[in-house]
Amino acid sequence: MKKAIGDNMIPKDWGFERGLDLIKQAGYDGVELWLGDMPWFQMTTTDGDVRELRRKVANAGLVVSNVSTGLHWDAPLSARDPAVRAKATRIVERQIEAAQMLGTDAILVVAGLVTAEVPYTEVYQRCVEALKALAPTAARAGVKIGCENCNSEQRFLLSPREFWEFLNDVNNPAVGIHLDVGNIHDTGFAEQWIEIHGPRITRIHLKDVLKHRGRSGDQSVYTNLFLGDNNWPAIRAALTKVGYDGWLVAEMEARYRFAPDQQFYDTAQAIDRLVAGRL
Amino acid sequence: MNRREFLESVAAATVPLPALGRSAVSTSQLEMPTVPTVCCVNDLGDECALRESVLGYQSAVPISPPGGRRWRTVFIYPGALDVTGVGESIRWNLRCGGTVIVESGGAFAGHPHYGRHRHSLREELQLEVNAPVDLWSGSGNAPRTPYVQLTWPLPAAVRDFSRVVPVADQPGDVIAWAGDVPVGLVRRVSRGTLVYLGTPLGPALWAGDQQARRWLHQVIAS
Repeated sequence: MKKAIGDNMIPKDWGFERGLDLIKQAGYDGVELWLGDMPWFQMTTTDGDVRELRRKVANAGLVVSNVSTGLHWDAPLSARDPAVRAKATRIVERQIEAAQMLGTDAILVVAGLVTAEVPYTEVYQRCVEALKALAPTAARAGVKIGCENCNSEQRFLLSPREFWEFLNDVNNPAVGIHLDVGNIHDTGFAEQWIEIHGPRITRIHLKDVLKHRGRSGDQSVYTNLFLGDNNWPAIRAALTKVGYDGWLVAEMEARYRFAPDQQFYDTAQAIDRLVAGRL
Repeated sequence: MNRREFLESVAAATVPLPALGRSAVSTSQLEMPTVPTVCCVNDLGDECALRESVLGYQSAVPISPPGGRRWRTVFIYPGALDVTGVGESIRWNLRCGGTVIVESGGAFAGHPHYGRHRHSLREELQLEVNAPVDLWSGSGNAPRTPYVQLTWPLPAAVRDFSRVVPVADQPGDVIAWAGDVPVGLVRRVSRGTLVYLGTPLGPALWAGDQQARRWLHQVIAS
């Protein structure tokens, strides 16, 4: 397995190239690029500038693990407004284009957002239809769309079985799951999600979760690897069982208040321990 | 029927509709209209603002090929914006005794499109509608009941679609309410029945809402 970390972890005042150097020095193999999160990679970034990002990543001795985005929280594929849905679709298309240019074969999509206003039944239908329509584009580009399990935040596809049925309804091998082992909270167990989805997993996000805390105030439910409630030996065993040999991508919500670069080193070493099974 | 005749028929539309605003209908009555019915879901193409609404109606209308010498017709226009191009057809179907459902797609259309929607309703069907209302703005964190209450031909609660097109005070009977905002109208026109929905029902049909489906079937059977 290879390890990566998101460019959105790079301290704001560091810049892209300095951040890449840190990622390399900390021992990562790749970097996850977040469309819309950082100034160097926006929807307005030209094709030429995207290729320049790839050159910088290569110069640092890294590769791009995948292309993610948080833009769908404001413009979900499940929106009622057709104009917003068109924008959401364009974001996915741009992710696919960028993934090709960056030399990676996976993107992360937050597929739908259930709210008090937009109910589950509508969100489900719209997401299935949107992903069915986008899948051929992804397949032609050799890119897999990984729908992330943002269980609590999305209020959508809350169980692994339900997620499985959703992917069955989309019914295209170009669409799978970008599994975040920290997002399951107290609604289940990451190792069971891994076992159920196996070959449909496009990438894995790593973080730990404090199941008792919940999301309130400035206290994040998420924490650094091995500090929370995830059963890491079980997760490692499940990865072995399903034969997952892809990218493990660190996604830390909680940031170090001091010495932010230290989090890169600590997280890389924790992932090494996880991969080695020394838990 | 030209526009003038249509105007006259609207003015003369004093025949009350049966059982307006009351009476639940048993499930057995909802299976299929007793008179063979042809339902036509009309895709208005560029003048349809809600593609999923077309899919919703297509998935929900009963398949009932005409088996006798007489049959009724129900014409449905989902997510409609400008109805100018189909105005003549709608009037003709009403004159023939058909039921026509015009579902508004204007709420999400933006100002210029909504202006054309409103103008075409007035010119072609003598329907008056008001500016769209965003049901969810300004409510802050206050919980709200997210349902439109349909009252005819049977009571049904269907999820609101965030924005609605209110109907103005005019001939006909209000058949749908989003809170205190009237968002649906039924009107006898000549021998036919014109139903206007200022809140989309198609997405709820598409999402499998059984009450929405029963409501539609009952309109078709009415």
